[in-house]
Amino acid sequence: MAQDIRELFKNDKGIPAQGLRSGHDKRFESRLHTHFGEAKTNNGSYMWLKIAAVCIVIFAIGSLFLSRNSGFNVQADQQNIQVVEADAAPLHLSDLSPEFKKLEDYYMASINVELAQLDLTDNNKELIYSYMTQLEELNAEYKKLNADLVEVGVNDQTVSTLIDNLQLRLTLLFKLKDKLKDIKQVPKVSSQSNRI
Amino acid sequence: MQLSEILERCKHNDRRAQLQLYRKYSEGMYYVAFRFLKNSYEAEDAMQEGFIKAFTKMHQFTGEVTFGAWLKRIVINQSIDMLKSKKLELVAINEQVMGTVEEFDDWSVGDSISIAQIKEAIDDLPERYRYAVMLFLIEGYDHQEISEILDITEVASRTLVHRGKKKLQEKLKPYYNGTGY
Repeated sequence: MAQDIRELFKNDKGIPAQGLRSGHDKRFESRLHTHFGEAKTNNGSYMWLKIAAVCIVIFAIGSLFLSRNSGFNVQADQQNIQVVEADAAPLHLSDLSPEFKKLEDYYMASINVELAQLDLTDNNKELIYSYMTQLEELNAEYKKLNADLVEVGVNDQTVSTLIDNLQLRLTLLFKLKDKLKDIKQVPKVSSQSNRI
Repeated sequence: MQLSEILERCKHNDRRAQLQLYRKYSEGMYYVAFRFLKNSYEAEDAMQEGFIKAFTKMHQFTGEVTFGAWLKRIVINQSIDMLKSKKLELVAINEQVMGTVEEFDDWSVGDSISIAQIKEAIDDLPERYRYAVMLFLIEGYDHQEISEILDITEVASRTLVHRGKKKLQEKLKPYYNGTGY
């Protein structure tokens, strides 16, 4: 029986003898750098928002230490979007593990940056509010999980759910941002077609 | 982190996510580029440039194919572009090739022939057949995709692959051990 070349290639797992040269990742990093510039610092106003968001987070963490037992909300901007903040539960995982605290802070900062960037108008009000409701639900869930943590003690499942919770918030915000972008583009297109 | 989340972050130009994606795919994509360029410096260049291109048009990635397949196509296009800039002449042959369906579909070689021998024979093919045959055999693209990558017609792609195969089988004939054919 003759063999089929196509079959031979389908089962072929061979790789070329010459592998990647060492240090390729460093070279790529600098390439990324020259191409995209500093990550996420495209314009000045953005930088401002970032600083503002970091300030909010620092303030939030500070007050968390000052008033352990009272919940609070921080006003993000004049449009009254409430920053959803992991609340001061009696026991907080971040109090126990510095690593988790770092993680939580990172997510909180990212979330607040995204929140600060939201531009509330009449057109997108409903959309934003519906996302805010979802975020609030997540926040409530987060509090519950923290309470569980006190009752049951620290375990892998709860911790990973807590992290998932934070990730989900950020993903939600990214999605919201994309949707807002779509909304912004649609009226432009329709007004153009009206003119024609 | 989930791949979908990394991709989402790359859409927002997140440097860490970009590097994460690079670490995941760089080796595989390098081998793809290497198969065409046969040079580790050029292959690295094509692979990295492919990543940069992918990151700049991340919003065009719709998820119809896997991210790996999407990226591979970009890296291959990049490699072909680099070959073209080195004066590769992909002569578009638009003449119809006569042949039966069985003939087009006959990819048989002798039993004793190893994949290494076949690869060697492919490398020996004239350029204009070689890349079409590689795209078809090794990378697994169909004629429509090959025609897009090489910027030729589908008929030309069929012709190149068919002739390349004929030449390949001729080249491999000395290795035959009385089996096959």
